[in-house]
Amino acid sequence: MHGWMGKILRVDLTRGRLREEPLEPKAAKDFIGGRGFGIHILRREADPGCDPLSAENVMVMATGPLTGTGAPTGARYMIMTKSPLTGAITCSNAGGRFPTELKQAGFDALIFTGKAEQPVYLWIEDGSAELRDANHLWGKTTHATTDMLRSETDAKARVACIGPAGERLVRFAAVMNDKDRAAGRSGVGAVMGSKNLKAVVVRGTGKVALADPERFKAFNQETIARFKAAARETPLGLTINGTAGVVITTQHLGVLPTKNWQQGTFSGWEQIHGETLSAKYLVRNKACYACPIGCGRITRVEDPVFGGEGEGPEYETIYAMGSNCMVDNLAAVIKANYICNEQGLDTITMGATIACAMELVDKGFLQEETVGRPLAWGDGEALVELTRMTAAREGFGDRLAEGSYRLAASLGHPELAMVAKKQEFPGYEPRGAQAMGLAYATSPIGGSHMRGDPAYFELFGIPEPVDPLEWRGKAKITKSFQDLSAVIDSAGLCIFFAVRNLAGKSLDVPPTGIREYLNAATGADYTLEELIRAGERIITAERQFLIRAGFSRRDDTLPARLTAEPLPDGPAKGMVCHLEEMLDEYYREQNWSEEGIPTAERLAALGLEEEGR
Amino acid sequence: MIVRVKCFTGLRRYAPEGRKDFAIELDAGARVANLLDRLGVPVATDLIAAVNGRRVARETPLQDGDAVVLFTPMEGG
Repeated sequence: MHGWMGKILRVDLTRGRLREEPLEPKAAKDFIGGRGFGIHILRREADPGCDPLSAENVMVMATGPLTGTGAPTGARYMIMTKSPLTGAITCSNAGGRFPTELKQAGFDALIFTGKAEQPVYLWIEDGSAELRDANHLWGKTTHATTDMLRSETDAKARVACIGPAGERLVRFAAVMNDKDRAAGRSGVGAVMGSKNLKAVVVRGTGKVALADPERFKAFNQETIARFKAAARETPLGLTINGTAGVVITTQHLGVLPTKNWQQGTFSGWEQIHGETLSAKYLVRNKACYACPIGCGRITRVEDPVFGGEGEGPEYETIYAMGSNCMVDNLAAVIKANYICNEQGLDTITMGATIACAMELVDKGFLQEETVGRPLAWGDGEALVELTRMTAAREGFGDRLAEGSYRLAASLGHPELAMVAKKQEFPGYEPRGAQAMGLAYATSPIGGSHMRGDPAYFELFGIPEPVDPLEWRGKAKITKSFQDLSAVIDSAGLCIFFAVRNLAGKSLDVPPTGIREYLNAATGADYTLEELIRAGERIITAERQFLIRAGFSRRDDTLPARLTAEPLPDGPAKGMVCHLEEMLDEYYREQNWSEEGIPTAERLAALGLEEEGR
Repeated sequence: MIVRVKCFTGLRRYAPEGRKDFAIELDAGARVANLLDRLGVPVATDLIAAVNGRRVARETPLQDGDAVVLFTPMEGG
């Protein structure tokens, strides 16, 4: 095969058995790779009703056909499993170098089933693989684990691993690769921990074969030349200030979630935005494999309390731990970020859960004696200390480790958890960006902007500006962006490059450039229609999994704060999110029933009529 | 009339002496587009203009004392 390596490695952790399987060409074309492979495998093999932290759960790590080809940002892999945070499906993706190494070692995807009796790691070296003892790594940070594994396997090996948080089954534990790249969301690290799988270590020296190398090279040169010309015209904010530069946009459009989503602007925003990060803490930027952008931040903080060196923060971390907790001390945010990277935690859920705890204390529903320390808005030391305690499940950290929904519900106030399907939102306020609310409510993984990101058209004006406060007509555009995201996530690309450079310039964002890359790489000869259909197939298959896990329209929802409490400040002052109005229109666009269930006709059209488990 | 202007990221290079925050005198009735012209920002530049905290179009007229913020839109995550 071309583009695809043609092999999947199945790892039965219970029996300690490894088996290689061929990739079926029809499944490869229909589901593309990455996220698509994940749902294709899970719908046949995982019980949607299983306990996510039991041996019954199945976990898939899958690259896309463009991963490792040299296509710009073709560096990503996806982890899919049933989430211990949401009980729904999850797909959490990351870049760096590990995913490319996995393909160069000969595999498109890894399937993990069962549970190892003792801690183990998977060592893959150019097509051969074995499970090895990991008892000596248990309890080690992601950084220490990576260093130890490279010294005992190969100095050039790439590592994806969990930290202590994953071992302790923190419900939002991340899988970290190349030390600081995170498949952060929905607790994929806890699933690894529950399986006693500490790490996957890979060394690959092969190449990804291309179906038409000349065509690939020509299109690649043209794409990069166009990208570079545009960057000369308008220097790329993502390169200069990283994703942290977005604070300027969200603050000025009034969608920077602040004080656990009680406000849409933050008075301390200038202390936490990208320019401050660059001026005070940036050492250099860092790019994933084959990425011309380089949004990663290598930072260093000289501070007696918050000092350190590492990677981050991203915009989402700055919102969750900064404005949302009203912490305007960027050094404290960075320190908490470093702890998350080393312990293996999702920074979004961590920050949002602490913000929720701050509001619970503020409203008198939670006592500081229970927390074991003062917990006022803006307390940077509390942010850092509680992050450390959460990774260790120490004291009150044991309750924070359950995420904001379970914490707030245990105190009788679930309405104070800013979540969809029990997963905390990223940093865009739906009252000031209406389609964002629809995207959060309908994302299969719960609160997320990465399964169709309306911020592109509502806030960034890509491919063209659309009024962020209008809700009518948003369902159709949101669905188009969700379809595009499914294709990007499955191809192995990064959204930061693909939306601007590889999609059509109309609001239905057809994946034109991605199609060109895919066809040159794989020879699968996708028509544009087939590729859009593949995106729809992936989303609908994920929806089927959710329906079988017991989800329905009543779960496609937002907290009352967003739908019933008018935003008190900023440009979107007075607005609520008109979710219900958008939802009806959205289900019609998807050809799902009024209850959000895919119709038989829809399933048949996408080749999904065959029942999964 | 005089408006106060703040430029961020890629637009900083059009600010007088690269200053982040400055005041500028414009003819009465001037629009956002006239301000951009004065600063030498090319017409094709991808940017967001917010006046007194609201995102506005380039044709929007400015008033004396307005606070204008200019920045390039970019994604986050």
